Formats: sequence, C-alpha cells, structure tokens
Amino acid sequence: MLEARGLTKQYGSQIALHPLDLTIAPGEVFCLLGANGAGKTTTINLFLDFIAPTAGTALIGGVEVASNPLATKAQLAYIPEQVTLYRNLTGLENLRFFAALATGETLPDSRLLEILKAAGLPDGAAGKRVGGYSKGMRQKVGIAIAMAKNARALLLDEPTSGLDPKASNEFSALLTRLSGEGVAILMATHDLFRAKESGTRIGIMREGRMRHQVATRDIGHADLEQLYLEQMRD
Amino acid sequence: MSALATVIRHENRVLSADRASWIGLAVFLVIAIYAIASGATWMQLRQAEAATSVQISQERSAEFDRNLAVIEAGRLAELGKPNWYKRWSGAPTTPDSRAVLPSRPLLLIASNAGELQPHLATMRPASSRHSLLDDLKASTQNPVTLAVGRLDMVFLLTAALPLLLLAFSFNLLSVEREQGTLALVLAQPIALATLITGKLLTRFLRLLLPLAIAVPLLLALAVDPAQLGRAPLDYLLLAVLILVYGAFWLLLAGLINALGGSSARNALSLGGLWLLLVLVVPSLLNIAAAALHPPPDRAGLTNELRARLVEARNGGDQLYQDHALEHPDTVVAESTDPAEAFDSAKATLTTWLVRERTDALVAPIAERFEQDLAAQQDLAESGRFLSPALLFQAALNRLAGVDAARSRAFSAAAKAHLDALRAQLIPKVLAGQILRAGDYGGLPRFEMVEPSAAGPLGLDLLGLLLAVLLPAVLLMARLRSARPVIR
Repeated sequence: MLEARGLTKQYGSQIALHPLDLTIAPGEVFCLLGANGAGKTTTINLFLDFIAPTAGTALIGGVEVASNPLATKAQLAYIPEQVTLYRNLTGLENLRFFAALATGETLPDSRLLEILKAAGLPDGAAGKRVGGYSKGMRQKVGIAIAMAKNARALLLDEPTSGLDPKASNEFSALLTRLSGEGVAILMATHDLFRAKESGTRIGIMREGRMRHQVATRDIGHADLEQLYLEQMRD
Repeated sequence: MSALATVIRHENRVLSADRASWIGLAVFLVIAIYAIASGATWMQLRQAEAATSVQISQERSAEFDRNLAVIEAGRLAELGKPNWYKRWSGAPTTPDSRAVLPSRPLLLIASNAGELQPHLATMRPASSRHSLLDDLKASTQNPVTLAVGRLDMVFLLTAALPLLLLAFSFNLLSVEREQGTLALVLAQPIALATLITGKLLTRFLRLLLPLAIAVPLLLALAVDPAQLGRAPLDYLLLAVLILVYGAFWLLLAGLINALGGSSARNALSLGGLWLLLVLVVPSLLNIAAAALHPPPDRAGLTNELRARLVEARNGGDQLYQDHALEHPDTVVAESTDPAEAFDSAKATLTTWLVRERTDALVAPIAERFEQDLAAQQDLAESGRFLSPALLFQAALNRLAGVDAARSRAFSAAAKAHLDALRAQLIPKVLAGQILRAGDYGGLPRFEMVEPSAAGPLGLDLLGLLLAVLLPAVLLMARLRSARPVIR
C-alpha cells in the first residue's frame, strides 16, 4: 500500500534521506524510530508530497505521489504531531470542512458527531471553539478527520507526543483497530514502548538512513531499547 | 461539493470570525461615505457657481438689449447717460458670454482634479485672449484645499482600496502555515491552486463585489438617484473598473503568498509594491514630465501676460495714429457737438487696437505654455501604463470628466466661441458702427462638442486587464511547482 523505491531527498550538499526502499502492506503498522533529524518526518513529507524527492519514488496504492498528488492524497490520512485546527471554529465545524475536502461530500452533522464520538472527543466538546481544546482533544479531531476519510493509508508524525498515558493508550487501541480494518500505517515516533505495542514492524533511522528493520513480534521491549541505543551509538 | 466550493464556504466562515478585518472595512466605508458627501457638496457648489455666472450673464445681456432699444429711441436721459453715449461704438464689444463645462454625473468622485480643471470662462469680444487664458488656466476656489488636498473617491479608491484588500489577503497562505493548519489542509486531495483560488474568490465575492456595487449606488444617491438611469454606463463602468483594479491587488497578494514567505515578509513585500505602484511610479512620472516639458509656473505666466498688456496699453495712442494712417476710411469724424466732447469712437477703436496688439504679444507665450502643458499631459497619459494605479486613476478621471483631453476640448471650444463673437462684432467696431437692439439675439451661443472618451477608456480598461493578467499568469506558473507547507 505504501512503498518507497530508492526515495531520496537532498538539500544542496546535505542528504536528508538516503535512498530508501520500503513497503508497508495493508493492515501493517510500520514504526519509524530515530532521533531528531534522522529522516522520519522527511519520509512522511515525501509521501504527502509536501516536498519533492531528489530521486526515487514514493507510491501509495501503486500510484506515484509526485506525479499524482491528488489521487494519492485521496487514499491517505495524516495526523501531525500538533494537530492544529481553526481556533475560531468549533470541533464540528473543523471536521465538517476537512471531511468535505477529504471526501468531496457534505456529511450530515449527525454523522460527523458520530465520528467525533468514535474518535473519543468528550460529549459536548464538538460544539465548542477549538481554541479552548487541549492537545489531546485536538488530536482526537485529527483522528476523526482521518476516520471520516476512510483512508487506506495513515501517516502519523509523532502522534502521541505530549499526550497523557490514557490518551496514548486510546490512540494505540485506535491504531490496532484501523490496522485490523486493513489500513496501512506509517508512524514516526520517539516512543519505543508505543512502537512495540502498536507496530508490526519497526525501522530505526539515523542521519537519513534506514539502519535496521525488525518485526515487533521478534523482539522484546528491552531488546528493542538495546537495539535502538546500539544504532544510535554507531 | 467541489473542493473550490468547500474552500469558499470555509473562508466565508473564517472571514466572518475575523473582527479586526471587519473593523478595517467599517473604517473604509465611513471614510468613503465622507468622501462621497464631500464630493457631492463640492460638485453642487461648482454647478451653482456656473449657474450663477450664466444667470448674471443673461441678466446683463437682457439689460444691455433694453438699453440698446432706449439708446436707439434717443431717450438717453432715461439711462442717465451722457449725450455721447448714442455714438458709443464700443457697444458691440460689451456683451459677454459664458462658457460652462457641463458636469458629468460622476464629477463628484474627482474633486481634487476637478478643483484644478477650468470649467467656466467669461468671453467679451473686446477682452484680450489673455483674460480668457486666465480663466482657462485653472479654477481654484479654495487655496487651503489645494494646499492640503481633498479626500475624494478617486484617491480613496486608487490608494486606500488596495490597502483594504491587502489587509484581508496579505496572509492568505502564510497564516495557515504559521498556525499549522496548512499541512492538514494540503494533506487532503486539494490542489494548491484550488485553495488559493477559493481564498481569492471569497474575498472577491464577499468584499470587492459588494464594494463595487455599493460605491456607484452611494454616488448616485448622494446627488440624484435618477442619474443611474440617465448615465447607467458610467456607473457600470465604475463598478467594472473597481472590480478589475481590486482583482489586480488580490492576485498580487495571491502571488506573494505563493512565494512562500512569512506573513510579516508578505506584508512588507505587498506594502512595498503598493508604495511603488501607487506613490513612487506616479511621482517619478510627474518628475519626468516636469523635467522633460517644464512649462512656466502659473504665477510667472500671469506676470508675463500682464507685462505684455501694459506694454500694449502704453503704446495705445501710437497704435491709433498708425491705424488712422493706414485706414483713414475707418476713422470716424470727431463730433462737433460740445456735449459729445469725449470721442467715444476713438476710445473704442484704440481699446480694440490695444487688445489686438496684446493678443499678438501674448500669443507666442500662451502657445508655448499650452504646448508645454499638452506635452506634459501627453507624457503623463502615455506613462499611465507604467502602473495599474495610474491607469485606474486616469480611467476614473475620464469617467468624472476631469481628464486633460476634455479640459483641452473645453479650452478649444471657448476660444472658438470667442473668435466667433469677434468675427461677428469686431467689423462693426472697425467701421465705427453701433450695435442695434436686434443684433444681440443673433450672436452665437457657446456650445461644446464632447470629445469621445470611449477610446481612451477602452485603453485604460485593456491596460488594467493586462495588469491583472500578469500576476495571474505568474501565480499559475508558481503554483505548478510550489509546495508551501515546508519552508
């Protein structure tokens, strides 16, 4: 579903992403681990067509991203680290806008409220301005946008950063549910625990290179931490 | 629902929630209403001035006609005039005629330019051209207004409308990037071109279109709503010009946003472009026009003309003697009646000869002044293509009827009218005849053939459309490769 073939990004003489080959199948949750500047966000931005690749291709559902950005974006949802919404609008109004953009349809408010509820937004919050929302509540609206879209692929850029443990746990449960529905998920994170809990495969990146890939079922929490630290030391 | 419609609906909601921008719009509207009211008052004063002048002229003419009848009947005592008055051959040079430039319905938008426009001239056949030239140089009613400028709609629309539009659009994309919403928006299947088009269209439909409709309506209401029916094309053209000029500034804001700068940088860039196109380019054009075609200053011209008049007057006796030698047949014999000791025929002839001489002395000065002024105006007219603000201003001035071409047509018509009066009356002076009561009604009346503004206005509009096309094409080219989420 998500595929990178020799995907490379270079800014002048600085290589942000060395040629990356990666395939994420439907229902798979691939977690990208790495320090800041490792190339995790660059990879996600290339799949989103927010930046153009220097070489190689990113594909979603077999369709090349750079030459068909609208077709590929129709298949994926994205939740950034900070879900920033329109502060002057309510959660419902935000969802109405993004869902209409994502689907090209005007979903009835009753359906939008259902989605917000399913994403875990507390009752009564949908009608309030987003300016007063906590980070976790905004994250839930972000999830609702992804749910409204019925995307086949999901890109997550450190989605649990700053969330309290309960909210993080709910988020993991949601990922498990989505992957169970066949959604291919690529998640960049610093959270080794969450990666082991939610992921099916883990890739460790450093200085723009994919250093190591491992299936989560083949490694325990302690070993994962050891592996990660080893990769960071090299 | 299409992505474009979704963006427009959403932008409407976001704009509605932006109180600061609406306060800006309210301030603009208040200033606009003041400018319209001020323009309407000025226009009414100008029309009243012209009407009073014409009325005085007509009353004088009627009185003159009555007097002629009394003189012809030999009842000079009734007029309290001396006996020589019956031989007063100066009578043919006495009637005056007023030339009034008709007001266009939209004159009130251009009180600044209108203040400097000649619109009223008094013509007496015996007056030298210099006195007519004085009228045609300019009409200045209030020197204080000239010193500080008048807030008129031409200025407001040319200079302040862009600022209002830029206040609503300088951060179209940058604010979304800075707030973090742009990434989430562009992660959806929507082209950047659609997003920007939707944002620009919203401002066009929600802000510019209502303004383009409201301004002509308010202008008509300020004077006479029936004007809308009498000159619908003028009001329609004004609305179209506002839309096209406004679209240029909106597209410029779109282009600057597509370059990917921050909101502060966009504001600075757009502010700089506004300064360049609205203030700097027009100023440079004025400097260039003044440097290439410097006409004498108006005060200097007046002094020079007066000096020639004095020169001619001082030589009056000599002029009469020369004339008498050359045309002995036209010299009227002096009266032997002691009651007619004042030789009115000689006085009239001398006056005429002095004025003819004045005209001869003044002609090259006036011609040089007018040529330099015309060259200056022509340069300014051609230079208007350097800036959309100049094109817009020129078009508005044309709609208001205060453009240079119309002023020149008025001057030419006034001079032609003076020549026509002279052609009919001066031969009588030279022949020593007096004017009969019936002659007066047969004098030509002032008429002006309005120059067609369609061609220049069409060019103004075409220039503005090309100006709109430039940022539009650059914007579209930029949007093909722009990825504005990551700076």
